[in-house]
Amino acid sequence: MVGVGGLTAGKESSYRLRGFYGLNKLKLDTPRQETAFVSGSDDRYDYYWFVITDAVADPAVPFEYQVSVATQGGFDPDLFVSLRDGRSPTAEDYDLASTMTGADSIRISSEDAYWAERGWAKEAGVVVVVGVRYAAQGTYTLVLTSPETQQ
Amino acid sequence: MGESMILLNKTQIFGTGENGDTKLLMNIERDATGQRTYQNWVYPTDRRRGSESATENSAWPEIIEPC
Repeated sequence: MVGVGGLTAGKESSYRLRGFYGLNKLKLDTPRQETAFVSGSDDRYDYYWFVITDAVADPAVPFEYQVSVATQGGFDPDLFVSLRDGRSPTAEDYDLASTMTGADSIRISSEDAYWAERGWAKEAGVVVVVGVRYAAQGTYTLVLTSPETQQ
Repeated sequence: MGESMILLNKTQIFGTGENGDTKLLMNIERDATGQRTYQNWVYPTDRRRGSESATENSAWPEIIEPC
């Protein structure tokens, strides 16, 4: 049971509530191979999520994550990412994207300029939603890595 | 990191002006799944809550990872 309580007297408080379930959670250094099915001519998205909590206890703690998708043959998926607000990214609405031919990769680092430029607080926890876009049938491998765990 | 997550994103949707702050409360119901007529829901309140996230910052999200 989930409840939302207002904290500011005399003001409206707008919010968006979203639940994420474990089946689509990206785990560090755990590649997952997925089969993409397409019906019709529209692009299709598969969505995954994870949470960056490195800077919650100490905003000065650096972090770096890399989301990568690899394929075989002519299959060409693209990667889109939303940060913080939990929305499902699309080609029209995303924070980070990689749309090269073949494999794609997106790096999310505490050193990136957009945290300060957009006034985003890393210490609040960062929900990352990853969208894999494809327009044909094929197989892809998606993996979340971090240099911190590979040393 | 847990296997599920609840995200409360504080964002101005239809209103105008400064958005008020909110907090997230949660209770976990034991043995509720598989029972078609489960009625013992414990609505989370300030007095009866299993988890709470309250950053007290209206620009920050609230996140609870139940399990």
